[in-house]
Amino acid sequence: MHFSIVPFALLIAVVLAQRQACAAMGPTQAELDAAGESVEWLLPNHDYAGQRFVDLKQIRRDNAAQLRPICIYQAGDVRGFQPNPLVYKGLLYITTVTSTMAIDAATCAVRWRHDWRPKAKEAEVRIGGIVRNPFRSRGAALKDGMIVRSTSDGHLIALDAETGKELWERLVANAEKYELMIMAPLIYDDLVITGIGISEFGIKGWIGGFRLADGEPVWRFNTVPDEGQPGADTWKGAEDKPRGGGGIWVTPSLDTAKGSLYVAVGNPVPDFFGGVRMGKNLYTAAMIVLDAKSGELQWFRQVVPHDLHDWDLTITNPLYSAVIAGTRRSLVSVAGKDGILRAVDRESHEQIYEVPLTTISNADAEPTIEGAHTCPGVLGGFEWSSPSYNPTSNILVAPTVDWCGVFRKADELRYVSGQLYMGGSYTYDPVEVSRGWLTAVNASTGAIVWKYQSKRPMLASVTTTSANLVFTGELSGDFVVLDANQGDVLYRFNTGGPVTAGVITYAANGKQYVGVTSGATAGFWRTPPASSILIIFALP
Amino acid sequence: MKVKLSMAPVALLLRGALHHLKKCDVRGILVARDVLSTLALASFVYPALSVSAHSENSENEMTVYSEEQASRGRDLYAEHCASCHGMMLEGQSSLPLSGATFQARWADEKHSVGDLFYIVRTLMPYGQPATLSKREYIDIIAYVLMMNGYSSGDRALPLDPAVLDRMTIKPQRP
Repeated sequence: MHFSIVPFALLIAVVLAQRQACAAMGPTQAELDAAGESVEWLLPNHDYAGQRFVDLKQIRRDNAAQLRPICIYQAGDVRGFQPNPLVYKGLLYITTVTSTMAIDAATCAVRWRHDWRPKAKEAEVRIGGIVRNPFRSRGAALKDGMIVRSTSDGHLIALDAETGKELWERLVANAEKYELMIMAPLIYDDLVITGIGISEFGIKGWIGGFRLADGEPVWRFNTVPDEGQPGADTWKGAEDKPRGGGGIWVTPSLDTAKGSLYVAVGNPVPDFFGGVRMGKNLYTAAMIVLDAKSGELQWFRQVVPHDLHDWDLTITNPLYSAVIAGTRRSLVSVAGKDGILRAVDRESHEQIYEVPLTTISNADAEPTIEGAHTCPGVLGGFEWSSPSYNPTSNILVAPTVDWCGVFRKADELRYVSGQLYMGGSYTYDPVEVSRGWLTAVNASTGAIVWKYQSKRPMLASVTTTSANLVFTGELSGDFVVLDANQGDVLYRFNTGGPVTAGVITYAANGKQYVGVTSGATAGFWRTPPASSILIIFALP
Repeated sequence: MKVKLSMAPVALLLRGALHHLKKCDVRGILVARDVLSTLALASFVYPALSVSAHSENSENEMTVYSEEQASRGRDLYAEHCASCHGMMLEGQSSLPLSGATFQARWADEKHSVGDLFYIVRTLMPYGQPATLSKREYIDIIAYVLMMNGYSSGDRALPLDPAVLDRMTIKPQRP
């Protein structure tokens, strides 16, 4: 008998090719669902629950002082830089305003870089004439070999995660009208979820789901109801003056067991002129919980009804479970620019505790024509970086801004196209008195365990590990490592530019690394110009 | 169509130059000299620039301010605005308030002097908003309009929003 080897060879070749292709096509939904256990970094806040906790113990209290930078990647950009990096299969992904790059997570060698040329109009802003284009990218999302991000001109684009080649683009927002998709999108099932931010230009906020395959819109939830929609009766007042706001600019968390999205909604506008919007102003300054597949509202909790201080809700993560009075409960951290950290039960919806993590003063005082001095100011409180949950010691470690100011209401309200629609103004206290806090609280009770004071507002992401370390950064430029239980600083390195976003830890080839992003911020933080860089640190 | 004479800016710049020379130092003199030469040149083309198109729409008032008002505005501008926006409105740490930037943002026939007055008096100076009197703000607006080539007239810009809102800021045609 004579068998031809050719068909078998072909069969083997096909199987091998298929395995090769499958190996490239990740992360899968199963991998994303289990991202909390990953020693890579598959989602902006590490996992859908947004815990920013990694089980890696090579870097410890007794050797953290030996950390040193091993490579630097320069993105070649001087605009706002606030990405949360992603790491998958040894590649680290970051985004700038227009570019996306994949670099080797252990060596900084560039694998590919994609530059997006804006096709639609972009936004232009002057706030004191310092900010030009308010768009910044807080990161991207990965699934099935695709990396998806938003652009400064209102597109969602998908690139091949291995090669950087464009797969599709879809215009979904009007950037010229300040519908800016700043948040890092989330991918869940076959949907890309993203929303628009920056309430002060009179936008009406929304969050939406778009088909992963091609960006086709699937659902949308409007945060400021139209006439006749639920919540519309919480906006009473002058019908001829525009009302809006409810911007969304931070990635939501997602409970994969329930398929529920926990979304933080921004402030109502006009910010300081409440007379034209009497009522609670739903769903601004609130956490809304949506069905991730349909966008339907399941429940909500408003933290600042009828806000008059630009106190957006910004944080709805981590999701975690903790024992409270002998019972294990499912909780969500809820926090915003009003500076208060809350724990809310995801089943009963009741608030378990609240604790102020910054200076609070005169919070009930409404803006006046002469000006009312209030803490926090419009910059928070909590900005876009969430607490990290460390299950090893059951603590939350949270960054906040401590910077007060004077809130003024104007004597009349006027909407002028192209200008901020606030109905008044805000004046910070001198920059010399601005500061920040990193606070560790008991996740079950809210009791403060330790506090670290920074000379400037704390804006960077916070990451904790099973070695009970905290990795974060400061506006002054320092990357810092602290002990999670005691709050003392174990290592410090000045990156040369503000650290206001992604600080992550991961393993590549069995070795633990820390990736720190550093770069320019918006002018109102009063920092010098800086270049967008990523520095990777490791032990010798 | 009325064309305002170019003597007005020359008078203004002389007054401004003297003011600077009185007050300051060498730097002030250099600024004054630059102002002198630039505005002297400008005064020859002013007749063309200072034409405010007489509107077909009778509801639109002519955008007009008085020389004296603009002169007061200049002093106020120097004190409160120039450090960020430049004495020639060319922009420094902050955006220009003249030229293409001003035309694009304000002279698009969709904005009135009332809009400009509202934004400036509620949001500026940066860091100390709404701290000047309304009279001071409207005088500064007069100076900004003058520096952007709009004609002066017999009337000062009033504080009455009803009047200011009817003054549509029209594009300048070279």
